[in-house]
Amino acid sequence: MSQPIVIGIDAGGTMTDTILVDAKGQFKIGKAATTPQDEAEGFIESAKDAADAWGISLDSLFSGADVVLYSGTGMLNTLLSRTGRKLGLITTKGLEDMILMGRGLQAWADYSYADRLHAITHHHPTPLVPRRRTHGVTERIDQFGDIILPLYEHEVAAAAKALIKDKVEGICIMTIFSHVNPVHELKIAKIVAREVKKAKADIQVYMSHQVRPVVREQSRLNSVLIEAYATSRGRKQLKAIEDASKKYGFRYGVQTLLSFGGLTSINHPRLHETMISGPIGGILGAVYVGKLIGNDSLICSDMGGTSFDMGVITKGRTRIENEPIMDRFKLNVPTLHLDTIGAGAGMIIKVDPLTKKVSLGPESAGSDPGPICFGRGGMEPTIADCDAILGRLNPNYFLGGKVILDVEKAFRIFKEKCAAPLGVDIYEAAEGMIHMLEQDANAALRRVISGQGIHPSEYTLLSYGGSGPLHLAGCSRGIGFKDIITFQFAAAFSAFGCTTADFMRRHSISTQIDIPTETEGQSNVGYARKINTLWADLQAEARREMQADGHVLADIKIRPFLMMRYTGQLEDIEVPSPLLAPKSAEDLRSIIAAFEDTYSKINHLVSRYGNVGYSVMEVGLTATVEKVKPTLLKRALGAADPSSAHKGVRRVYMNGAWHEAQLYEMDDLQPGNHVNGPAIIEHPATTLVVHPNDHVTIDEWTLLHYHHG
Amino acid sequence: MTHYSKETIADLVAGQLPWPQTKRIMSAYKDEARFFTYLSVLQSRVAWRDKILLPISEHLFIVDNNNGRVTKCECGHSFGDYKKNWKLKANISVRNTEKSLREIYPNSDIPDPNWMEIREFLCPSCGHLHEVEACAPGYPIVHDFEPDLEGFYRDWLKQPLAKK
Amino acid sequence: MLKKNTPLKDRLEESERLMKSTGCYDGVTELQLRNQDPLKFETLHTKLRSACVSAREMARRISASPGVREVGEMVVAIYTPEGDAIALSNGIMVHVHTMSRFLKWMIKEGYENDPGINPGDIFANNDAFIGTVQVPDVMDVIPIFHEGELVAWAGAVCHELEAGGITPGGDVCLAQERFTEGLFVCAEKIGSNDKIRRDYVIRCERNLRMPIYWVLDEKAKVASCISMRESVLEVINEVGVDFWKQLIKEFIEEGRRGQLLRTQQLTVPGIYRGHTFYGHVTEGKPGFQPLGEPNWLYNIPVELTITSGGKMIMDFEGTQPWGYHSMNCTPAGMDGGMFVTLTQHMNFEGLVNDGAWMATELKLPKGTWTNPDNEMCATATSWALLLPAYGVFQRLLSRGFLARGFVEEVFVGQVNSPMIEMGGTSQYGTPFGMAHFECAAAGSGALAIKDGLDTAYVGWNPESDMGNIEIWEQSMPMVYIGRSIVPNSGGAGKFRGGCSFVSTWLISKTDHLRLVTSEHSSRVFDNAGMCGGYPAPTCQKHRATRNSDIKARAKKRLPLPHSPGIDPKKSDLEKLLKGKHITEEGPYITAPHKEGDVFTHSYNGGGGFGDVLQRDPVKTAWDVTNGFMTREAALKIYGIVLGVDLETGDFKADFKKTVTLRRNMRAKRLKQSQPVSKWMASEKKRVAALKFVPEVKRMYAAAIKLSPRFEKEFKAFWSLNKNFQIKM
Repeated sequence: MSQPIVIGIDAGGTMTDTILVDAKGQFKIGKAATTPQDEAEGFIESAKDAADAWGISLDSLFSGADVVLYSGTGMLNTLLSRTGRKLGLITTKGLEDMILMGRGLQAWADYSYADRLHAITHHHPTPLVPRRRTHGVTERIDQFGDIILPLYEHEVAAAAKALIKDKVEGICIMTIFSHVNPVHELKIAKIVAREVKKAKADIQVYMSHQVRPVVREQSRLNSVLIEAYATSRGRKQLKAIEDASKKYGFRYGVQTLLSFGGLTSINHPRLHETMISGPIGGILGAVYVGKLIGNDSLICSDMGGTSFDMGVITKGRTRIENEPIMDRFKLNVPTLHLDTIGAGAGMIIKVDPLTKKVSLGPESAGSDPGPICFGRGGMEPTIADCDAILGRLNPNYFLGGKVILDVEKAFRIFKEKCAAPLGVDIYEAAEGMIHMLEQDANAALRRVISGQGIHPSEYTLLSYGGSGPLHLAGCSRGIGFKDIITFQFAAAFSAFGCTTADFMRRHSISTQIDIPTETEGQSNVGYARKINTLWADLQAEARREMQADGHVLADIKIRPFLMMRYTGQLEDIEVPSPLLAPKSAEDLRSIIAAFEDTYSKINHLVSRYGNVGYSVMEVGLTATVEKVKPTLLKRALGAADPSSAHKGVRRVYMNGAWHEAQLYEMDDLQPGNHVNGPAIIEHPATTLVVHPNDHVTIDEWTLLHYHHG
Repeated sequence: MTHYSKETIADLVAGQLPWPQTKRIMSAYKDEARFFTYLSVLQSRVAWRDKILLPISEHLFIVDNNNGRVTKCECGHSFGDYKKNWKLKANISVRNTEKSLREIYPNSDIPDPNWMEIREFLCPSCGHLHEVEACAPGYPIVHDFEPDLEGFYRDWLKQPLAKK
Repeated sequence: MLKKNTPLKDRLEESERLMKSTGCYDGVTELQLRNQDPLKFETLHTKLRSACVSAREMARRISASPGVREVGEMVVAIYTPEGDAIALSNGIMVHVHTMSRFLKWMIKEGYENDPGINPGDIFANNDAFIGTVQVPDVMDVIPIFHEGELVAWAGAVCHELEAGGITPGGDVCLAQERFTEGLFVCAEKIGSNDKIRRDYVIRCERNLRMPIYWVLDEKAKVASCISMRESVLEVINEVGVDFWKQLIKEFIEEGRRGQLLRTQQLTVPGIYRGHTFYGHVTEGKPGFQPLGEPNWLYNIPVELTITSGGKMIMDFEGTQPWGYHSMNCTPAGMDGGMFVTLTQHMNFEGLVNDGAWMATELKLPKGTWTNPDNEMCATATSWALLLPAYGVFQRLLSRGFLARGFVEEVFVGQVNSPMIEMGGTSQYGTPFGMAHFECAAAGSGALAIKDGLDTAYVGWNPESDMGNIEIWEQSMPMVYIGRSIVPNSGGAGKFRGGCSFVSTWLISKTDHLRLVTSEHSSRVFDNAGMCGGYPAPTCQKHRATRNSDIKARAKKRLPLPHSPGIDPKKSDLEKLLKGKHITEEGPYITAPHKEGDVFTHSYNGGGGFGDVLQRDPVKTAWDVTNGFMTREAALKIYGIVLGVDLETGDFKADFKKTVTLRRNMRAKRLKQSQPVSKWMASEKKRVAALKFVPEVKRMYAAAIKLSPRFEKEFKAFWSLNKNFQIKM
């Protein structure tokens, strides 16, 4: 077999997945437990597992690779476990309590529907910097960038001295409207630097307008705090990964994944932008597969143990979320938009003893103790237990046989805790629970579809993640997708996705350009020019950073976008600009047309209100450089008969009855094969359930297409 | 079925259960056995023997003792028949001057003592502050809670109390 | 089941008759569909719920109002053809049943015949006597038809930030009759074929100070209703229309039964009593017409009966008459208050619907502020009395939770959170008007096991949020120079109430800014503590400085005020600024402000729980270190002696000294007290002689006039002779 050129690793909460890809696009998967303390361990273990599968040594793997991509959870853990750096904060005087008040909203923002209403459960997260190390300095700049109150420099010096005395490791600076006019943040930083130098201290300084020059101070504050708090340890982790790779002969720098897609070197200046990158890989993979198979309108769904992540790709583009929540903190890190609900095979099933109402989760059994059938002491029935009870999971082939499932135990406890209280037959109950989960996911998918105003008939559903194929049928039934696809490598699809990313930067700046409805051509030209200038500056900055990473100017592609709204609205929508350098009134009109078009797709026609005028609130662009990617192997379609992959028969409970389901080995299925339900298609890392009357076909890319009967 | 140990409930009642655990209890379905676990927690908290039938405030309980069912302070002081308003047998001190109100509200604007007073109801023996009323001068003292004690045990708990 | 296309009016009457005769919603005595397939039943309910949630999110994206987009002042729901809520989103739950009243009102008024109810029609309302709380709460509903038959309604309501009343903003405190409250839309058909009528939009654009809020919200609401309609029809196509008709009734009946069960699970049957008060001062304030007494005091007694069946009956007998002020409330508003409170304490699982409301009963004496017998009266700021009233309800419920052992649910509850509203010339030089909704993040009352929530709770919307400064400042011509936690603003107790915050602004880039505030009870507490906890401070006075020398001081880099400070006698503004200093008891109604003026406004904290002498010294040290409490308060109120940790600079408790100090305080408090019997004897003389200020006397006179029961109980308690009378 040939030499892998790309090594993609996705270190999730429990498992670290590796995917190796060679120039022909062939790949192999590796798995190992994640090792949060020193992620390099799990990294190498997982890589070794994959190398073994490929049949080469770690040395030849790494020395022969062109790219190593790593998306980890180190920084997120630093944040969750509050083990980050000792920080100080300098902010606008009078607003020091912002960190304690958290807008109020942070006391409940990431709660479940029930807890959001259930007021007594609300609780503020512990701030990343204590109030006592938060210093206010007199100053005020308003929304127009005008200085309303001058900066009191002597207060800054005093604050810096106090923080140095407190032995902080980092000092963050966040003043109101600094993204419009950074002059005070810059002055403060200068004075702080001077004091730090005087004291010969080693303290890094962070400015909010540099980390993220975007409106909404609470989110900008959180962004700069988290960058300062969590990323230093993250950098060490990534460095360790790079060292480990080099130890085995890797010749280049390790890359990591940005939360808005795209790769960047691990020396990225705003590393917190890589914190929410796990599920992002999946979306990128989806975009990529879409291009390959000539289908650029996709809905991807990633079902693991706890969560069901959904992303929408329209004409090859994905929506950007500007204010995601990370561990209770509202940030403004641009993030590929994901809709997530708590739904997965690890989800715990509860029956209210009072009303006999059934509920799923939100808790998940995770990997420790895990579902009952794992036999690791789990005592709460989960969906995975139901899958086992109904014969859908092969008790002797879970993780390729590494875990033997204790079905009997699952049966006993599920009966006692769920079936009996409900007074329903146990198999019926088990399937009912699965049905509930799949209905939740199904409803969520429909919600995403209606939320973005799209027609499922134009979209193909991609299903992946360890439990994706297992519940694919129910999640997708009745929605009327154009096509439904899953993968032999579904379990490592996110890792695969990372390997498909390009090198990327996203730069944007807040502005306020109000365009009245009736303006004569001349002022329109003015607006167009203003937008043009902003884009020009951003381009320069993006190119500079990219070149610093060693990319060639000629390879850099620029894609401009605007955040626009009707004047007076508070929410922007992202509008891909039809042109890069607007100069004429005509150009401006085409931008407005693009806005109106996108707007009425997302919100209903009735909500258009053009006669109040339009506002451009943010202007930005993405700069990308392409990189070598895996190409799925295209083979001619063969016979429909899948017997070459047939491995036996198993009794499986589906649609209220027992069936003799045919068993197939997923990796042995060939292009052209046609599998009729009832059937189970197994893989060491996942299981595809084919219901009676449904069938699965294998295409020339060896992708599995699910067809509802 | 949700169930918590007596220790857990004891910590919860004392406000000493760690937040994550408390939050889980808040978000979970309620435990059926709670009421009697709670009673046993309270019973082992008090120095006296009378059986606690129903708490009506943080440190006030309706108890069974040989002179019938009475309202009792955690310190052991009895306020007499539980059907009567215990406040009428308590000690009171009233804050209806700027000076006395300032003692509780040192840094803020305070009410007009001609419009409103604060009444503190104390246990005559241990001096515990059981209840505070904020009302207009001359307003009748409120009888906060008249539980249907017998009905509660009979119809809801299905464990009727002995006739007294 | 009634035959297809029975007139709505008949369906509604039939439904009410069945409720009476069977005691079950619409005569659904058995939950057939649920028993057949409980899982399908749940799944469908969840589906409808998520349809509501995503419809609301869509609307928030569209809205121009910081109230909706930034702090989520909206809710949407799906209703039966008869107008009972089946499923609802999160948000301002208060309106789920008010919209129900609006629907039933239209049905009873024969809207089916005139103006007609057709597919694609849009109806709006903000008339509290038809079904909402106050003028700014504008609701839109659309009928959902399936093959020509009306099978459901979708409804949405937003709280508008500008209603075009006599003062700018939405909560028009100067309104003394409905005619000055603002733009009324009285169950009006404002559109058809999924389009809002242009002439209606023009009426809004010409009658509001900031039409974009209202108009774009209207569009947002209709868009969300349409998306709910699509979801409902999806479900009907899936399960069939007859199944649907049965299903929605079972959802509600199940909700009703669930509520009764919850009450039996969480509380104790019996009678719970409590009260609070509200004092209003307008004497000498410009703009108020002399229609009634300028200053008045309201008593708000609440008696909650929990029957052995689990039904909750709340009785407001003994409270005050409606008046020529903006704080009257309609039964719809009272329903709303009840509903929002229940969803926070018993029905938070999201499958709540009107069934919960059916398991409760409100007794609202005719002629009182809770049920005015004059529909000309104003309800623009009914929250001012609603919030205190339902704060009492929360404490009564909590007494039940405490008795039953569910201590974690005990919640001293909500408080008023006075809003500021403004208008005049904006920083863009254009006319504007807005209600500043950062008030949606007050302090909550304490719990029985922990302190209240600081700066993050209001009763009307548990998803509380003060919003971003950088967003608010885009809508108003003043800039924040302070937004900070107010020490000791939570009521004292073993567990203190949540603290409030205070904002301080420098008026900027305008020469005409009207600032108006409502919801003010500065003379009396309109909140309370529980089990020995004290009330949070009364509503605070406003501190402002006109023509301040702030810019000049800034040039010289002299210290500036960033809050009123902690000296109630002399504010930081007075200490640090030159100019015309104002200390004004609310409501704040004064001449316009302009560039260079400084204005402060503080929100309210929550009541405390338990005896202060039992408060944890460690927690208290943290409080003082972080500015939630002053060291002085820790010492004088709580008897906690604090030192400073030289390592960290944090405060730390001195346990030994604390124990001794507390022993002395306990002895002292007992010594200063007297037996209640003794106090009553002396107090009785004062009552008999009516030695009260006029406001207090008038309060008793009015309560007695309206309520024989109050008179009886009042006389009995003080053992006054039969012919005792209060002559004004």
